[in-house]
Amino acid sequence: MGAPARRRWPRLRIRGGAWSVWLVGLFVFLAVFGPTIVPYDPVATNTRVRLEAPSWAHLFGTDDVGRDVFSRVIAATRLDLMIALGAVLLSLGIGTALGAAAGWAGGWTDRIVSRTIDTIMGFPLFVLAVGIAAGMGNSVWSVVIATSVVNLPLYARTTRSEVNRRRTSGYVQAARLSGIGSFTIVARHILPNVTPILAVQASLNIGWAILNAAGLSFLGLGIRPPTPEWGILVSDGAEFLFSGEWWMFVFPGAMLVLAVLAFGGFGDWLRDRLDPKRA
Amino acid sequence: MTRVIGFRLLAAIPNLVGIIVIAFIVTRILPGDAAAYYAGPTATAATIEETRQRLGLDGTVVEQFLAYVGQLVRGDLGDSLSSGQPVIEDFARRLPASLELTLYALIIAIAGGILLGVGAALRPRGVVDRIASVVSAVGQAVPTFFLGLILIFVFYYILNWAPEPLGRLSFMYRPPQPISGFWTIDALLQGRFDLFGELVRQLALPVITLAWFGIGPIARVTRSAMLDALSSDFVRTARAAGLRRRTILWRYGFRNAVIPVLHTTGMVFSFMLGANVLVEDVFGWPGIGAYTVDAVLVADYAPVQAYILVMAALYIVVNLAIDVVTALVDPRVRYDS
Amino acid sequence: MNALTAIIEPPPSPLPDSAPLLAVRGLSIFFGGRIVPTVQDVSFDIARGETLALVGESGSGKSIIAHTIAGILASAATVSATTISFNGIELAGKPAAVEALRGRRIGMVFQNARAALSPTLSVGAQIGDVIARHRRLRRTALRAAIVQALASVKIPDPERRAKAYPHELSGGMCQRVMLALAMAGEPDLLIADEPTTGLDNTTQAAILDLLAAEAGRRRMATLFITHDLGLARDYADRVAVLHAGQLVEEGRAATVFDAPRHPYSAKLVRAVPAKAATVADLGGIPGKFPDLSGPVPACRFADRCDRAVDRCRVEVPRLEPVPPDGMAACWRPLG
Ligand SMILES: Nc1ncnc2c1ncn2[C@@H]1O[C@H](COP(=O)(O)OP(=O)(O)OP(=O)(O)O)[C@@H](O)[C@H]1O
Ligand code: SF4
Ligand SMILES: [Mg+2]
Repeated sequence: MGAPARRRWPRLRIRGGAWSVWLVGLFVFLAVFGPTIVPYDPVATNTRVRLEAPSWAHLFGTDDVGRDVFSRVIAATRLDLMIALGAVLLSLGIGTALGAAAGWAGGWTDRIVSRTIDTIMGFPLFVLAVGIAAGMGNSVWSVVIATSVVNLPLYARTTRSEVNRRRTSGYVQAARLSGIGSFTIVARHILPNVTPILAVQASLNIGWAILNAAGLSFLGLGIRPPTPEWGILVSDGAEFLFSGEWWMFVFPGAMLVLAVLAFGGFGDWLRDRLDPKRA
Repeated sequence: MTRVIGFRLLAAIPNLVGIIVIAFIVTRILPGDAAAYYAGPTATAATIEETRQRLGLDGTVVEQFLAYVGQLVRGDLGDSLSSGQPVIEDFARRLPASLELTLYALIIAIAGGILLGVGAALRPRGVVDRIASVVSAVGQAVPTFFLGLILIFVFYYILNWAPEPLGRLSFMYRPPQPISGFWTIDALLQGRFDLFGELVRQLALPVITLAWFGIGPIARVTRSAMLDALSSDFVRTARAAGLRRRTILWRYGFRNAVIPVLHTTGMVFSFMLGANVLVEDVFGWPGIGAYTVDAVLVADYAPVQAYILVMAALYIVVNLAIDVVTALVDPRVRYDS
Repeated sequence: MNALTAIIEPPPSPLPDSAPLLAVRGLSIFFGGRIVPTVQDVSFDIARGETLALVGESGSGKSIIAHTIAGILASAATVSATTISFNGIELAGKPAAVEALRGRRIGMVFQNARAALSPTLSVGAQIGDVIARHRRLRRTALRAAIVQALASVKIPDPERRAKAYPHELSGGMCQRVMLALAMAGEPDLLIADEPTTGLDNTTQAAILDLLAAEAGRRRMATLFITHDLGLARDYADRVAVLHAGQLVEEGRAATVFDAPRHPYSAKLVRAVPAKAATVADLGGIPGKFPDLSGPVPACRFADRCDRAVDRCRVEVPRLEPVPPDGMAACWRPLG
């Protein structure tokens, strides 16, 4: 019954296409060149143009001290992407290492790692992120680390089960008997098998990391104004919502949505390519 | 059944221990000297030393941990610097506000997600299915706080349908006498129906914001579980036996689709506990999330660990409840555990 | 004559003179994306108190015919029929009419009974749902009726078993429960779709004996769908042979088994001499079962038939009376 196509959620046309690759490319371009190509200095104030609605001179309008919102939103791309990417790479690296160690060594190592992972999963993740960011104080790093810790389980679990499954396979036994060291076996013969899955998870994870980091800075944790960052920009703009100056929160928010869509679509696209059976 | 509950309670113990350990670690990584923080801004070197001893901060890590557990057992979560009160008292006062918001959002997310998911399963690619997929897509891409702000802008600033998003109740109204702490319920109990209406208006936007993100996952899982159930042999039997459509849909279809839905509900609740901070922040909601963030911003760290503990404990309780309901619905689970 | 028109518009089949309980005429079932009907121009009757066995290979369309009669066919299918008349009531193209009969006048049991019962309700609750649908009973009366229903299908200790869930019962017990469920509405027609497939021989015989006894006692008509020619011979009054959606032969069980007229039935009977052997294992018939997703010859058996002539491929053979009784759809019948 029911052809497999009916099982699927009807797709929004926009997800997972080549468009997302272009969009990710655009974001990377903005992250690299954004601060140099923006029309205004993102932190320079100009009280003569306070709270101006969007116009050709100021595409996204100006804020309460006359800064160009467009310039600030574009300039923030670098920081937001670096935080998200940094957090994902950090949890990918540590999570994979922990998972590999647990899956390979078994015994107490496995028990301790698995317990830790379960404990992290026992928290509502954003709550834990808030706790860690609060504990670590005001720096970009506190956002990066808070975001990466709550993501550790994702990578650790995948790696652990894959390593565990392949530990007893024929080619690993053979490698062992020929005197190759554990580290080499894991790094050269087992992990490459997991790489595609991890790559897909990591790219799908970037969008989530962007949201998580923006949420923390929206609350005022970690990064402090006037550094342009999307979460902070939305938070600053929110105060002016009540007087109708919507452009201050709408544009950075829309940029967040666009970034999340782009990286989510990119992750889907990558999955379709690397892991056809799950596509 | 009691065996199931007992078993799950036992299984939750290591979880609880882990949570206490993490909360402990978070308090230990606080910037600067914890004793100095707890002693307060006017502390002298002597009072800091005294606080250090009182909190057991001068011992080894193990001693400190034991002292910390001792504190927890006594219900001592430390004092808030900003309010000058024990954190536990501040929390007790604010927790009902957070719970009222979160539980209403959870109910709406479950009801909305199930209705959309069942509707979508009845007519794949139909109107309901498309609505569900749009709601879900928005929930995946739009940050919680941004959605909240957009709703405020549209429904308060432009349309003026919603009241000012400043907390549980406009200052023009007198809140109900606290009975349950859930003001909507207290207002009803006291027969103040106009107040109830006002409370609901005030709750509407934050609840919708929070619920939105749960509707998508619940609808998606409901849809696929219902498609499976409706094409199953036992639904075919029920149809052949001439049962009513409603009976077939809910008692034979949905009852057998409910378990994955319940598990998703657990995840959704976890997400809501996190997103709750953001929503409280956006809507000026006087709950423990907003309180904790305000405290952190003025370098008052005692509430943070209390916040983590309370949230994690709530999560455990809800998961326990889900396990129990699962066992009630599905007899096979009772034997597996 | 063009081959395709011949396939799509076969000449009408003759109507019988008696008035059976169920009369099916010219039933065709189409699935989207297929160029030939999956079931083509099938006609048969069942009288009160009679058991008709519908036999055929896997995929020949037995279940979808049964589902059509009960009105529970997957919505992906399109049905056309001259007549599906039940006790004089026309059901073809009238979902509301079938709805009113289903579960009351027409009961149905399926294979793999454990999967065909809801895993999250006790078997008593499931039987209770059916009884409550047909009779207004108070709580205690309903409970008594449930126990009574379970007892009537010879389930030992019915009070206790009513509280059991399907996964706690054996396959045979589940099949008895399903029988009780189908009987709860006291149907005039029972459609049993491979009711004993997957059960061991002893259990199989017990279930079928029970079914036969119930049918005999209440003069209930039975459409007995099976792979198993031995069971068809033992339990059916008449046998209808289905091949790739075409009804090729129909007649008294003894005639069809001892002197088949259609080349397919003949091969079937010869290929499975042992009593317990089933149609599923058709090593004895050469050639492949026709692929119904593509074009097929007018007589769908033509590719496997050693009596085939040119006419067989372009003109659909009609089901016509053959001596001494029954009917066959073949241009060159045996005998
Ligand atoms: N939903 C559907 N879509 C397309 N084709 C279908 C569908 N359901 C059934 N069919 C086709 O109808 C044909 C008959 O199926 P049916 O289940 O009636 O066979 P059967 O004779 O009962 O076989 P079995 O002995 O295996 O139960 C098969 O060829 C099958 O492919
Ligand atoms: S009609 Fe022709 S092909 Fe078909 S069974 Fe008869 S002889 Fe064979
Ligand atoms: Mg079948």
